[in-house]
Amino acid sequence: MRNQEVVSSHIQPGGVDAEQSAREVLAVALDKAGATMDELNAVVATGYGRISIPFATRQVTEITCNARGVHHCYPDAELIIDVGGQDTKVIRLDGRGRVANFAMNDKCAAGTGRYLEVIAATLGVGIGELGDLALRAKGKVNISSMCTVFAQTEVVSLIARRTGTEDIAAGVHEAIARRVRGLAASMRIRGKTVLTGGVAKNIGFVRALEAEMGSSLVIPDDPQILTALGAALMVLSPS
Amino acid sequence: MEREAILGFMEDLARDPSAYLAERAKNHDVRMIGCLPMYVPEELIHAAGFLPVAVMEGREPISLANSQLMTHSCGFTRGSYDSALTGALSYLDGVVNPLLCDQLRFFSDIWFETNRFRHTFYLHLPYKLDPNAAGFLLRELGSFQSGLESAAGREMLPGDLRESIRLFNRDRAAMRRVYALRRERPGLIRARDAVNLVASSMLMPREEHVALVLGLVKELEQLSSPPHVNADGVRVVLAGHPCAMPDAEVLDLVEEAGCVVVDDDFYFGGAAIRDVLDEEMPPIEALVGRYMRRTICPTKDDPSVFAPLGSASYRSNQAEHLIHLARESRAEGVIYLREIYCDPFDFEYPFLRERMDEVGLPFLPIGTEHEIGTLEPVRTRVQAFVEMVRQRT
Repeated sequence: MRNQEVVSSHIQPGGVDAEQSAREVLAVALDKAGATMDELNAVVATGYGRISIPFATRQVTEITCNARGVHHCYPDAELIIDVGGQDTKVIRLDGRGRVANFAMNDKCAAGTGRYLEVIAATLGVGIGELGDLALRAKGKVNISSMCTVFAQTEVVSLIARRTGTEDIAAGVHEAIARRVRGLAASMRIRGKTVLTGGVAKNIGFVRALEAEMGSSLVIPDDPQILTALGAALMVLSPS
Repeated sequence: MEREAILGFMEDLARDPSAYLAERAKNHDVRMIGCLPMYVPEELIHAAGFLPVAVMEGREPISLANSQLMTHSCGFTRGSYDSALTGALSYLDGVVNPLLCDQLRFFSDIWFETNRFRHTFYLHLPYKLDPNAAGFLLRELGSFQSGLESAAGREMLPGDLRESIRLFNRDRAAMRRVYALRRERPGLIRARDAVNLVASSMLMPREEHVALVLGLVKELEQLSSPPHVNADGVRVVLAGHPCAMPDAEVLDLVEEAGCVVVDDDFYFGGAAIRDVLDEEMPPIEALVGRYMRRTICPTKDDPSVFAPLGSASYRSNQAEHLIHLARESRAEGVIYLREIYCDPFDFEYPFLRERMDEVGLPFLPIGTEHEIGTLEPVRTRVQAFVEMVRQRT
């Protein structure tokens, strides 16, 4: 970023080596921006690997950064629902880009992107196709297993009974939407809600969550970049 | 003994008391009664001539216990049972079960069936803390006393219980002094040191423990600066985690991630040391009085806290107590360890949470269980909490 404007960005899957992944993704972003490492005034690390980045000048949790980034793009946002690959978070904002309260689900894969990855693989589709598949559902299927592993077993038996994959996909999205909705309810607020995280790119999930919550959700153009954006703003615009 | 040596001894003892206790039982001819949590009147056991010893959750992964207990039994029941099955509690002459909750009530049959101790005591501590129950508790403690006397092979002398109460009062007072020093100068000891301090009091003779604590107090008073200070830290009170020791690694992480622990209300902590028993009144009545008036716990029904329908936010006496502690110690927030599979604490939690939100006291729940797993999510939560509180100031 420069002067609170995004110059370039890049997203790639993180590997097991946080520092290596960070170096790679930064190198690509710098290349896109036509800039070099020494032109950077600050590097803020956020997320699970943040304490392992030696070239970061600061480390801030993704909760605080997500709040900042969302507020920058949507100043009247009141609630953030962040559904990532391995955890889900909800954040209540105070109207000034600061965290008023938050809750996390990181004890269990159900309700996260991991759940959808497992099911997509079981249904034989790519993770990017799962949402569209769900939108073509004709019937209703209820996936009752709380656990990702057992949900997979449930899906396998549904397939064996010749249940349509579209209906299964819809049922799976409803199941994850119920989990996420439950976590969001703990923030006890109804208001403009922004959905972030990779799972926000799944149209099937978005529809299921909107139906579950009875209201429409704001989906950013790039729901995976807002936390990094917020991280940069932590140093560019501290207050 | 130096401060580091005292704290080191207490840490080793609290982490694994079995070797120390087995040796004392064998070589010193000390008879020990294991106390399942919580609220067993240790003074009475001491007066009968036994050493009351807390039964601990243990730190080993559960193996044998899973064959008989559901995996969703709480960490304490599974862990302590696993210890018993491996013979790690063989130094105990007997065990007392205060039938605290459904887990302990029904698990006791399994426990006592597979672990034959010479003496087993069931203590029916009243669930409802109102005057009608006081008479019942008096009789119950009388029965417990008879049982202990029978096990000891001798009757208690008049004055024995009063002496025991005096001793325990002295030990608690010494520990309160350490806690007060920490409140005044946070960083004097670590959060884990405070927990070890109290846990060790329940794992060794109080006569010896109080001497160690007084030695520690003297050293702490002379320290020119706290060894573990964090000037920017968020001042917090720790609470929750009933019945068992909170993980030292979690406590360390709370401090590492930017908090300064100024007080705690753990069972192995502040909750165990705050009571001063009246040494003049009939001793058994002093024990009854403590239980009836000072037990702040979701496992008990305290009619004085029950609020009219519609003001559900007051149905947690823990909440009022924690708010009070936070004020007294000028804490900026409360970090609450929620032990997974603990039903009584789970059912009170929504009211506790609501009351905290109502008074605007920053409150962070952290789920804990016997199996620690990875601590990164805990670090993220604590750090986000620190960032949240700091952004307000």
